Amino acid sequence: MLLQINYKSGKPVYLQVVDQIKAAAASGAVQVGEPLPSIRPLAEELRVNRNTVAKAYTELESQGVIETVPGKGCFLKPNQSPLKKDIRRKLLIEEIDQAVVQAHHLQVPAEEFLELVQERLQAIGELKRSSDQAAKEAL
Amino acid sequence: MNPRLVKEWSPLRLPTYVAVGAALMPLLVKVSSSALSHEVAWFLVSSAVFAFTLSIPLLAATSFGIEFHHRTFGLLLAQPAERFRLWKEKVWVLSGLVAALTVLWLAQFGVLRWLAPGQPGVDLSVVELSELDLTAGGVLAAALLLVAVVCSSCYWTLVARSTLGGLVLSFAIPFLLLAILVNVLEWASPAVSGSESMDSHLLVACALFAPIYSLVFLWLGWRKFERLELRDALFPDNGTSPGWRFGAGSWVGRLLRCRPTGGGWNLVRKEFRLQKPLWMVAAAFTVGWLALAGLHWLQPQRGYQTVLAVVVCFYFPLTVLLAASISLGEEKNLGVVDWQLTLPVSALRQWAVKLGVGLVVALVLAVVLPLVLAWATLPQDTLDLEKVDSGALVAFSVMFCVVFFLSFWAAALLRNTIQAALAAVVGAAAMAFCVPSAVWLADQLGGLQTGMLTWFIVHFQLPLEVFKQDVFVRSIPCVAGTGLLVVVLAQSLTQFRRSQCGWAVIVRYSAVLLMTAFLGVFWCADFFVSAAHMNLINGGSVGFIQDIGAAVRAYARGGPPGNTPRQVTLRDLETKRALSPEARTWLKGAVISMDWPSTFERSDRQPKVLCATVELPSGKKTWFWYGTLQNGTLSSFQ
Amino acid sequence: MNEPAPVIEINGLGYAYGSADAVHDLSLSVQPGRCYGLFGRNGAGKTTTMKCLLNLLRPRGGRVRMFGLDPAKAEVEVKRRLAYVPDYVAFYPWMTVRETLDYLASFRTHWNRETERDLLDRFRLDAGQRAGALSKGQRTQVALIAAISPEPELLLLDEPTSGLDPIVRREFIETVIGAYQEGNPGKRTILVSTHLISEFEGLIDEFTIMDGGRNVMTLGADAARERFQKIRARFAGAAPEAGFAGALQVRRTGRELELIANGAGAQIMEQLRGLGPESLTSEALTLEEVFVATLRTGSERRLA
Repeated sequence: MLLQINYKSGKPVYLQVVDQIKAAAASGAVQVGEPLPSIRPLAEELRVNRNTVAKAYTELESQGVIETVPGKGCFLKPNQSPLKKDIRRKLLIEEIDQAVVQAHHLQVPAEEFLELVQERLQAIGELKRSSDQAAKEAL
Repeated sequence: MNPRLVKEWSPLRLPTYVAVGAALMPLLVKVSSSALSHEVAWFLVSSAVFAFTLSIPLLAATSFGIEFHHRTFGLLLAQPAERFRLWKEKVWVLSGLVAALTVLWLAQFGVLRWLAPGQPGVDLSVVELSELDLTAGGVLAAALLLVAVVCSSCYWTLVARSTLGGLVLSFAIPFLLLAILVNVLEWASPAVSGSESMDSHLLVACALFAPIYSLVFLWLGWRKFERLELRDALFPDNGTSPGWRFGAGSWVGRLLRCRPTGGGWNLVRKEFRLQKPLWMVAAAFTVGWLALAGLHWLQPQRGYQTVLAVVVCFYFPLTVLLAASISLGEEKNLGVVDWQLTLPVSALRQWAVKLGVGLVVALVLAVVLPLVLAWATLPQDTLDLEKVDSGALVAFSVMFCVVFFLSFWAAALLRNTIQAALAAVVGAAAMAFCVPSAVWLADQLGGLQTGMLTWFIVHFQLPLEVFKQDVFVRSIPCVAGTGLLVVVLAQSLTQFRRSQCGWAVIVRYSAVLLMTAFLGVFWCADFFVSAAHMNLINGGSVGFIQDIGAAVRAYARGGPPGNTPRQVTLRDLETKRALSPEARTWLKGAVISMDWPSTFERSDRQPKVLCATVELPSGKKTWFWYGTLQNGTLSSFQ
Repeated sequence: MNEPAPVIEINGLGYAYGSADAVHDLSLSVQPGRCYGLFGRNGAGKTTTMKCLLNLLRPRGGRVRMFGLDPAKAEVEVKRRLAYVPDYVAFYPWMTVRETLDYLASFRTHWNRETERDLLDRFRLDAGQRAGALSKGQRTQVALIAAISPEPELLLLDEPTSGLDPIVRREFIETVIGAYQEGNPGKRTILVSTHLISEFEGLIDEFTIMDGGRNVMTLGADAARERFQKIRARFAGAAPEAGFAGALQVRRTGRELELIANGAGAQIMEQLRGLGPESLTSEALTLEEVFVATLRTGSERRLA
């Protein structure tokens, strides 16, 4: 699980950790049953105050995202799909917002933008289908 | 002026000023010789000679050693200048200074020796130093030796990689070589024995030895400088110590290695390790002594005692000075002091350990070691401990204390060992000047403490000479000395705790110390002047004694009743004349017997003296002598 | 619930070297368990402040309390509960690393041997090497081991990473986080005085910026990152000359405008939007940029 702290985002560090762990859980980088990195090594790796990481973990625990098993570590709480879906949508919305703003800057009108989105969806869909096919044939 | 020459001169300033002061000191002593006691004058002159003789090699060692001390050799040698030019600049500045100082010393010596013998008030014995009568030949030999020391100092400083090491080596080695050479010459031409022959041999040896030695070592020094490699890490092993190490396995190394528990003992171990340069100096001294003792044993008629005495005279103050200042000076040099002060050990404890270890080392190396060596090597008749009188012992211990504690105090105020040692020498001279001036002031002002002493005598009914007894003569200076010691130690402790020390603070503390010393001596002198006022002759100048005197004389006007003492009491005296309350208090319960002792009668023409013996209730007696008896009437004693 | 007593409390501290003011009327307070940064340029008075905390200098004015005690009076008690890593690490050069650590351990009642061993391994230090032969980074590492092994309540770091190579610097910070911050969080307080702020960015909870001996700003790290914003705008024509209230710094280059806002970010964004820029972005500042921006404005302001 790769976490990166961005000091330029204006967001408190512990919240960034919370969000990134949630994102990792949502995208499948951490599975249920896999232990999360414990506080000390994570703090050392990120070179962040240990108390900040502890606070993030406490926050995650209070939100019900993780649970601490004494003696074994912190694990993702199972059965998180509604939360996961929420997070997934939120992440995607962020990306879409960026694309929309960029389109505005590049002076691409809204209709053209939507056409482009359709086009790209189709193109990537095609790519995925052909690579799936190739994988099936290889087997 | 050439900034590079100014830069060379800068670190040499302090030793130069001390040398100039030392050169002028004998003149100063001569000028004020009437005001100074013999001991003080001897101390000042000998310390001046010591300071001068040590400051010349110190100058020489400093000019190269300062680069090691400040770790600026890297910077110096990285400059786009030929090494020969750098070396030449240093040597030029050094030789200019040494030449100037030597001329100054010779001039002052000439003035004292040859130009002033006929003048009144001049006491040439003051100038003689430890019974060595320095002839012209001796002076020339010493000068040549000094030249040799200075020329070789470059080489030895670079070998030792420190100022102090360079100083010790450049001083010790030519001295030893010269001693051996003189001895060889004696064997080669065993002619007449006696001091003239020794002088001529010495002169010949010096004339041969000094130029060759100087040139050889000058060339060696240049070569060493030319090929100097700076392999040190940021922290070479100690700024001012030679680089020998105790092997980790040796028993000393094991003893001195710090353990994980017992912080106090670790402090002590660390202090002993910091004193290492002194052990080196002591070892050099022991080797030199044994060599000289060996020579003496081979040729007993030569009389090496004087040489040994001279060596001890240099070794003793040097060791005491260094023992006191090296531990703190070295720690400041290493930059370790602040860090040490942040440990959870009280500053008082650290300071006390430093003081204790320094004192022990100074006593062992400066006092016990020479005594042991003397007892072991010299034949019994030359060293007779019973002949040492207590006065010399007192003077010796006073000197030890002054030098040690001043050096310790200076180390807390100044930045490194050498500055502290020089400051201690200057301080000791200043204190020595305090003594006669305070005594003179006490003489001028009269007994300020008379009133207080009178009160004691009157109310406790003590005999009048009580304050002149030995116990007071010994203890009053001790009290003053203890007071001064307390001030010195308190100041050094205060400064030890603080990590910065500017010139303003140094000046302030020195002024306070000097003032305390002055006041201490003044108080002692005044005490004795006041005690002297209670004199037995005609009642002195103290009120109640004069009162009693007048009453006794009035009573005795009845004429001499023969030789039988007349016993009177206070009441009888009061019938003739009213007495002051003080006199009454003092005489309460006392019995006065008046007597014209026959021993004083030589002939009828000789004046007779009235002796009144006052026996106080405590059983003590005081005697008064009054008047003369002429033609039946009493008149004042002349 | 009672607020716990501050570990360090400084009120109106003043110190002068001769006639030159080194520290003037400085006040700050460090709560237990926090990591507090003291930022300032060279010569701002950071080391002087630290020395006053350690009773190496006696303050000319004001009051200093460590653990509620006066460091001048309860000297040994205060020092027993803290450890200090100085900016210029010096040891007795004849002692080996082992001996130096033993020497320092002898003054402490508690010394964690395992931590010491782990750290010696981690830094790959040879315990038999003489302290005089260590490089600067190795000396700092030994000083850090000596500071962490007794597990003190307060760690005072004075310019700890200046002059060290990047790997040693990272290891230093990782060791402080890892080895020191283990243990009771209420008993692990750090005060770091440094001008290499980006290193300690993640570690600092709260900081004070000093300039010319005075307290220019005291702020929490998260609050600072939230409050200070860098706003960039690009215009079609020349950038407007309008004044912006609440801007710490304004920089115009041709068509672009760069502002640093202190707390009034939203208003400035509104103002700029009204001027019709081609593009408008804003981002938060790192602590180092906050430091530079605050001091570059030149004037001293008290911000809290």
